[in-house]
Amino acid sequence: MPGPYKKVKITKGRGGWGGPLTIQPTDSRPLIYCVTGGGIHPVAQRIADLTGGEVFDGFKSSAPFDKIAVAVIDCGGTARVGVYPMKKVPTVDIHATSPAGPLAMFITEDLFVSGVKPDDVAEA
Amino acid sequence: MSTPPAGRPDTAPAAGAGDADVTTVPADGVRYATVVTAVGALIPEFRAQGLLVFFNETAPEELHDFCLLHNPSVVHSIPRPGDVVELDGSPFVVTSVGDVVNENLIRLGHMSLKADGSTTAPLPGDVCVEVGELPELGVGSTMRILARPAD
Repeated sequence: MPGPYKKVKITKGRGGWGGPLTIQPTDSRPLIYCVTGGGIHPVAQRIADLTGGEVFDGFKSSAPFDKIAVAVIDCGGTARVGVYPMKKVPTVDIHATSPAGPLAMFITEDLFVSGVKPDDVAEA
Repeated sequence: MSTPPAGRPDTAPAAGAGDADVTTVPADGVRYATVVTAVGALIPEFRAQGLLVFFNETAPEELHDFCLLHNPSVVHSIPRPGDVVELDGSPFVVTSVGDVVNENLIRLGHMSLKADGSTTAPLPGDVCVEVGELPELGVGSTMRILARPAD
């Protein structure tokens, strides 16, 4: 059921970096885009449950960047961590990474938060 | 939940694939073997910085520019320090392995290979090897991870 969408605030977890991010999907950007190994991560599911956004498994098929409300990744620090911020997509890393690697310049506090667990996602 | 749109095959490993005892040394010493199937546009730039990013073909399209895509034939276990990563036959001794390499490499064929000689992986997804110039890999190039022979 699309919209109305609610806002959530996502805060960095222990050892994490960046944020907080406030996320509110819209009709044009409804997707909670999960790019984690092993299916939909609980953090992505919680963001979807609280906002009304639509969870989407990035390993099953692709979605255009401009449909994504937030990307949830479990990146160990180099590739996924930079790709979505580079495209201005707010990004939540399950792992407690800080900006590093060749894409570090794109990883900014207003677009990226890390070390996030389901409890770090709250209604806003 | 509705069926996800078709787009790429669901190649998620069978249940339990990530639970193997990764400390076991395979009988033939080959922990991982794969063939490169595509080279991302940014790979030359990364290579100049001593970095290669591997990802199997399930990688979302938006990551392809950043990755060497590959199609593994052996997925046994991740490297340990002292093992060898072999790129088109050139050996690089492993100096450290990050904490999430296990889930990344076994599930996603994903690792960031850094030729920086670090004895503590700077990032959790890193496999660090001795300092050296990483070879230019192309389609058909091979990457193998070989366990150090028992002492």
